[in-house]
Amino acid sequence: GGCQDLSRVQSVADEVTKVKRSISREFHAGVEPAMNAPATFEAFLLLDGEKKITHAKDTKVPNAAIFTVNKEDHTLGNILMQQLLRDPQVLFAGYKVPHPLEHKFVLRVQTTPDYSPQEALSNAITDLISETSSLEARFRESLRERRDAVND
Amino acid sequence: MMRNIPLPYANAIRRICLNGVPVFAIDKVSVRENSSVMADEALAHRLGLIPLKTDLTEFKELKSVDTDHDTSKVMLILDLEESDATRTVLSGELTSEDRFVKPVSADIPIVVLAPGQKVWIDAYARLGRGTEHAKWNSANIAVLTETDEDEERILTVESTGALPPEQIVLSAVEELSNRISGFKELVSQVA
Repeated sequence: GGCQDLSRVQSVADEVTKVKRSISREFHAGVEPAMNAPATFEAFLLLDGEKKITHAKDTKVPNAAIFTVNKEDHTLGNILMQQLLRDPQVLFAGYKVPHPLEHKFVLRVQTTPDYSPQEALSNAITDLISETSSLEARFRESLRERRDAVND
Repeated sequence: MMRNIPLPYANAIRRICLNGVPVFAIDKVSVRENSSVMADEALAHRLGLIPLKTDLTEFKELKSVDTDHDTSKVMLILDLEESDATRTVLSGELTSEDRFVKPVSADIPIVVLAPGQKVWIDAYARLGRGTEHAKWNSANIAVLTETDEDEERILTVESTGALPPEQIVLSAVEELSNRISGFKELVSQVA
């Protein structure tokens, strides 16, 4: 009677160890953000119902609009602003990141009366796209040249 | 060497070289056994920071936050015997299921084991960008300097080893053009 109980205890103990070894604890490979810090993916992913870009009219002066772009930073803002400044019909173009902890930027554009800020922004982006595609082509070309020079 | 490229462009490319290019890094660690003196999460943290060689042609990034899709994860295993003597576990002992995605260097120390201690973990690496966590930074240094010529600048990129520097710059340029094109569509919706 006693011997049987012992063997049963042993077999239960073996089962427990087997189960223990098959359970693994999962960890995220990085430091968990602080309790009140926003999730890191909020820097580039839009939240539910959040629009990427919204615009509002600036009533203080004519033909001016303020665009709010979410989940973007200086990388895009500066480029857009500089391109807008190259448009002769744009009277004012400026951007700012209202707060470093909030991932968005605000772009203010004012144009001449026969032109709208939305048009200006649209044209600026079209120009930028053509510039980037030519830039990409130039980069690939020079990389190819460098690779060929190294191989020779 | 960049010639006749506007400064905001060059700077945008520099910024994206640092943290906009997707790179592999360990993200989820499943600890099966850890009898070392290092806490599980500390071990997981160290594993996350190991730079992994990245292959951008085969793997795609995930668009959503939930990371349960198979084709974009690579599993690495650290399965060690109980050690006889005190030794340092180096990154070379991580075995990867993919022949290309593995630690950049085999000499990165992970944890020190005393006799009788054992570590057995499954780690899952996925593609991510430096904006989400610094372990996904593709470059350590990206500097833009001026030269004596007009409109000429030099972009110097030092990679972590995950991607070759030329690949980083190329991916950065692609990423920039993707961002701008994606933006164009949204603007047309607003206007």
